[in-house]
Amino acid sequence: MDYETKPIKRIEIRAISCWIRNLFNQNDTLYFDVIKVFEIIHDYFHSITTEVISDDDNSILDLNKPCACIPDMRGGYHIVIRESIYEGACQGVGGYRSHIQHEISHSILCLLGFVPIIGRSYKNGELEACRSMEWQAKALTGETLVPFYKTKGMTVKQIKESCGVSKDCAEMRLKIEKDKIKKMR
Amino acid sequence: MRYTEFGEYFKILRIKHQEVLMDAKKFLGVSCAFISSVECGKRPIPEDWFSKIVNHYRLTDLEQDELKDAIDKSKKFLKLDMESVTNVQKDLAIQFQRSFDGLDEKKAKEILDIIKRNQ
Repeated sequence: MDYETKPIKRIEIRAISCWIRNLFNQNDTLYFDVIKVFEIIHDYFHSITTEVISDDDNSILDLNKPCACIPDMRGGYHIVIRESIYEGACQGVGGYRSHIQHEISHSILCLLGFVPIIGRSYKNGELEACRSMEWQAKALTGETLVPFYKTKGMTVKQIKESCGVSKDCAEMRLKIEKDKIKKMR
Repeated sequence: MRYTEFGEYFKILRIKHQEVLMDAKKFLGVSCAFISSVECGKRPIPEDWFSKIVNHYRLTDLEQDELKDAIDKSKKFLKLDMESVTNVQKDLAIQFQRSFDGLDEKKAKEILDIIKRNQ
C-alpha cells in the first residue's frame, strides 16, 4: 500500500540523507549505525517513539508485517519493529537494518512535511516515484545507508561489506550511478 | 505513544553509557520486546530491575534517587502493606484511597506538604 505526497527529487533526498548522517554524528563512517539511531531518535525528535515487539504480538501490527511507522493523534510517529528484525539488525543483517532504517526514514520524512496529501491509498508502483511515500522512504533509506559520494567506484561486494547492506541494496546503488551517467550522455 | 518516566530515564541511561536495548537484554535477562513494553508502560516494572540497573551502571546516590522517582511515577497501581500498621494508619490509608479521586490540585499539594514536613 502506498500514499501520495508532495514530490521530491532523488538529489534532494540525498541532501536529507547527508543531514541525517550529520545530525546523528555518522558522517565519518560508511557503516550507518541503525541500532544506535533507533535508540536515540526520540532524544532528537520528541514526537518519534520506538518500540520492539515480540514476533507473535498482533496487538498493533499484523503478524505478516515486520515493522511499521504508525502516526498518532498528536502528530507523532511510533516506530514498531519485531524482535527478530531488531536482533537480526543488531547482528548486522543488511536486510533487517534496511527494514528499521526504512521506518526511521518514513518518520523523518513525515516530520519534514512529506505526509499523505489525500486520504486514498494506492497499490505499490501505481504512483509516480517522486510522489510516492514508499519510494521516498526507500530512496532515503538507500541514500542514508549507502552514502552516494563516499561509495563512488566501489564494487557490490565492497558496498555490501562496508555499508552493512544487502546485495540488492548495493546493486541498486550502482544502478543509480549507471542511470545517472546514461542521462548525462 | 509516550514512554513512561522510567522508560525515558532508562533510555537516557543507556545512551549515556553507549548501550542499546540489546545490551540491556543481557543484564536484565529478559527479551528486548519485554523491556520495550515496560518502557512504553504496557507492563509493570519488575521489582528486581532497580538493583540490576543500579549495579550495572554503578549509579551514584543521586542517580539512584532519580531512578527510584522515575519508577514510582511510572506505576499505575500502588500496593500498601497493611499487615503490621496501627488502626489509625489503616484509617488514614483507607480514607485517602476513598477520597483520592475527588482531591483537587490545591488539597493534594497541602496534604503532600504535611507529609513532607513530617518525613
